[in-house]
Amino acid sequence: MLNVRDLTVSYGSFQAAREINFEVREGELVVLLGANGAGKTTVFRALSGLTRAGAGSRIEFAGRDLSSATPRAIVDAGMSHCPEGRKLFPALSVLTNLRLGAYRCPDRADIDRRLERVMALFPTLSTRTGDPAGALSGGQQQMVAIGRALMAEPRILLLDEPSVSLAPKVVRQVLETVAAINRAGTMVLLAEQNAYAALEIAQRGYVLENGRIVLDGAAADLMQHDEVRRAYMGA
Amino acid sequence: MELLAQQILNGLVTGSVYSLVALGLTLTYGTLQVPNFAHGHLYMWGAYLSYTLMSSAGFNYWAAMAVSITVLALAGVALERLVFRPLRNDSPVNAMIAALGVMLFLEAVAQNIWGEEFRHLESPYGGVVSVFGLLVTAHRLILLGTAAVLMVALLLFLTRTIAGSAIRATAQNREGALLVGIDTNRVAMTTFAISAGLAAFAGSLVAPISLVYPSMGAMITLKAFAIVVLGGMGSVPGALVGGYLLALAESLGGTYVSATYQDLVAFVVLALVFTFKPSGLFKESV
Repeated sequence: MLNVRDLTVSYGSFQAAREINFEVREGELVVLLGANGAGKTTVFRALSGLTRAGAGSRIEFAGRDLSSATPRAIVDAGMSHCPEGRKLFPALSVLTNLRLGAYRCPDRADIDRRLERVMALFPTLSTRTGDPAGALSGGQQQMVAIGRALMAEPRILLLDEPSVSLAPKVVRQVLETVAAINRAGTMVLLAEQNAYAALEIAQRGYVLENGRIVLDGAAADLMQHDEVRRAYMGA
Repeated sequence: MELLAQQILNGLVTGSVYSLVALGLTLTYGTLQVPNFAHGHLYMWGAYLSYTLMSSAGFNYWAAMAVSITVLALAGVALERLVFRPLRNDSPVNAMIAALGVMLFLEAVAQNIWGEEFRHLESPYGGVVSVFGLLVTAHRLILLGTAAVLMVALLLFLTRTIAGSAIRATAQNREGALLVGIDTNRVAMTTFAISAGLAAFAGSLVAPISLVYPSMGAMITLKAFAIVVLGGMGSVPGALVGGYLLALAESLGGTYVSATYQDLVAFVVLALVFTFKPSGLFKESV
């Protein structure tokens, strides 16, 4: 479904991603592991069109070439990015943030239906809909960010470090919700520092180091892999 | 007592104009981080266009104003597309220099067309009305009313419509806006159009009660910057409230302190804000 070939991204002379190859198949939840600065966020930004991929890179989704598409065309193609740092609209209400997630959907009834789905997924948000998104706790803001991405009703959700700076208990909740979203039929590409927790809900994973993919495999295998255990699980 | 009431009324009239101009400035600053130094010159052009359409082409006041607003809104779009968009990814200094260039250009062209002399635009509402014992020209009341209506309309547009939400979203997080599929280039053009249109509206409203001349834009730009800094850069409520506050301070200061220093009030306010509350009164953005 999502097929990435030879993805290279440079910032000036610095290559943040080098000839990266990976794929996410129909129905899958795939995790991208890597330390800070390994290039995870760069990959996500290239996928959603925020950063331009270098020459020769190929990003294909559902048979369409999105290598040089605008963020808007990428949203329309069914790929929705919940970015690192959330990038919410802090002074706008939670409800407006969510509704803007469906900015490209012209049908009001459809937007209301999506809103109901998101609220069912994050019931705690229903009491905060009128509050400015910036006034919420970190965990709740993360829910708004994921909810906003889901409001586009994507076929694949790109989730960049949803658990960063959240309390361990909230991390659990967020990742459980991500697993539920995936079970409901949305493909997920997840970047995560909590390697163990992420591999538990994923089917497959890739390990990124210095802008390259150094390891890939089934989640269960990666969990047993010495290198992964040493570098990402502190075992 | 009557003097006080008169000065408050004057302050509200001037404040309406200040707020309209400052709103346009804060909108373009909030969404695009462009400090548009040429903003007051758009206001000057708006006043000149209305003046010319009325005095040379026989337009009535409102028709002249409508044409002036439309022309300036289109000029705003052109300004964004041709001047500021190509500079977006450069250092902000370049956009500032470009804005100064536009400012000098607009003033020079105006001087070339209309000359140095002061022009007077005759309001069709020259009569004097008595309001609670105060004598006011009808035009001032119309200015107060139409400015208020337009500001309410702008606020409703920004808070109640999808297009308005897209503008606010872009101002608050540009990348977040891109990720939900908002066309931020179109937002930028719309914002410039609204901003320049507001300036033309304010210029056309103020023309009958002050005079029209090529350098009228420079002072209002300074005032508008003082207001936007006072209200918080990029804040819409800040620009609204700040405009009225500054005008009231000027008109009361001019009466009870010294009329000579009236224009100084803005800069005293600016200095105080920078010293005690650099983030402005309102920190919420657009």
